[in-house]
Amino acid sequence: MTYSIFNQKISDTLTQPMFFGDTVNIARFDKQKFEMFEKLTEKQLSFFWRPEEIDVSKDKIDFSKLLPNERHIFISNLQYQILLDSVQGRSPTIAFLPIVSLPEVENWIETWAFSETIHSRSYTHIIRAIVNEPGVVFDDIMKTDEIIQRATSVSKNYDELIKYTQAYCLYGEGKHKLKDEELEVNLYDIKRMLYLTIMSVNILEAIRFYVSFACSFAFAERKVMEGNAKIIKLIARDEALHLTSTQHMINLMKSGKDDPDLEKIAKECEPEVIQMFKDATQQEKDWADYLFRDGSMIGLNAEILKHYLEYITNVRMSSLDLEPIFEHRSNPLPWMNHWLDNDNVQVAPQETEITSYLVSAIDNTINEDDNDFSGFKL
Amino acid sequence: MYKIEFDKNNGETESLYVYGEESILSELEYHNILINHNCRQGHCGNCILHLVEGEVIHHDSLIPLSLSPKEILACQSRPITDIKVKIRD
Repeated sequence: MTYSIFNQKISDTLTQPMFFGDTVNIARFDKQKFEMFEKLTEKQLSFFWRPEEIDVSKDKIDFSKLLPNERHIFISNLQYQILLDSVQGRSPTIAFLPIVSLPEVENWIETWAFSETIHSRSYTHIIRAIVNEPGVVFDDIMKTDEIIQRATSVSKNYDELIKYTQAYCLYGEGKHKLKDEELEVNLYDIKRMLYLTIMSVNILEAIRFYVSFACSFAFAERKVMEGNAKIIKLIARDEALHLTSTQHMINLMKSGKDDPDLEKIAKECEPEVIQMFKDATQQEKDWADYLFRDGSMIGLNAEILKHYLEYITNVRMSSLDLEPIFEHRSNPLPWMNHWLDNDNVQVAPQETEITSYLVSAIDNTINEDDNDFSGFKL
Repeated sequence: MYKIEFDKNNGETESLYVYGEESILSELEYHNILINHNCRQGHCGNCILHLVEGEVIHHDSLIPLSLSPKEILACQSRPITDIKVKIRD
């Protein structure tokens, strides 16, 4: 097969799998095989926000008053999130779009990746506001071993999938000699890479991001760096949506409702998936040690963060019908819920940015059985 | 205060008393009762509970999930009377 940006074969998208069926030609949303992705796209669009809407001017004053170890925690934490969103802002489109077969999934992937780019822009907005030389913070990311190690672990599944799908899209299955290596391209193996990549993304958005969120919200619980926390709250809202999408993809694959090969692959890969969760949690624990190497901050230290990691890993694994790997424990950071739940505190509009306002989110469909206006007469 | 009775589906029931200011999911968490959940925003559908008795205020779910009449999302609902809930069969 050779990839075409507009596949001229006429196929019924209702019978295609999510990936590796006929590539999408007409971007049509009048009928959907998996309506959930259309709903996710609509919701993501209604969430649209811009970092400039959030005032971070007070954060500069707060930042100047932080202790040196707290500045290390704050900046390193932000640098790590910059890395994660740099990966997520580009990789879903590069890795998944050439192999997607359903218009609603294609549209969701593009919308998802776009929202990640807003996150990346907001980090620049925050850093510009709090330091005089923003360039130094960005330049240091590539010089920090602890961050680079993690870049390898979050991108390795993507890289492998991209390499093999590019070969598959150009030459199809078989042995192909590239410049410096020979690739054995087999569709079943690529589907396995796809499954593990989606799992790795799920772990990234379900666990790795939450370590950063905990640090940002811990500062704001002390009433410092609150502009930053408001932005991170919006990012967390988006990430919860992305997390739902990868979880939904995985569960569809596991259930056999999508592609019988992927149902088989999901069973075969279970031990490997459990190991991925274990590895990611360990990497995040190592990161917690790095963050708090010069001392802890009020409300958070490496030990509590590690307990939270175990708690959240158990929660995420249960959502995928996997047996939790850590002992049952209560949430050691219960105040996180205030930041992660829908807005449950009423505030005057002039006092804060309204995060519950959704663009085009009103349901204006009227059915025959709706009787809200039954007694209304002109 | 309202009473939340949580039926653990194993013959045991746990009771907690709450002010009704936070979601049922958060209240259960504070009392160390862990139920499946994920997004906390009302779209993943992991935290669906069966409302056996009582009334709740339910936020609109972000994504219309197919909830049966007596099903609620724990992350999107707060009790407004004493309630009894259990995990969906």
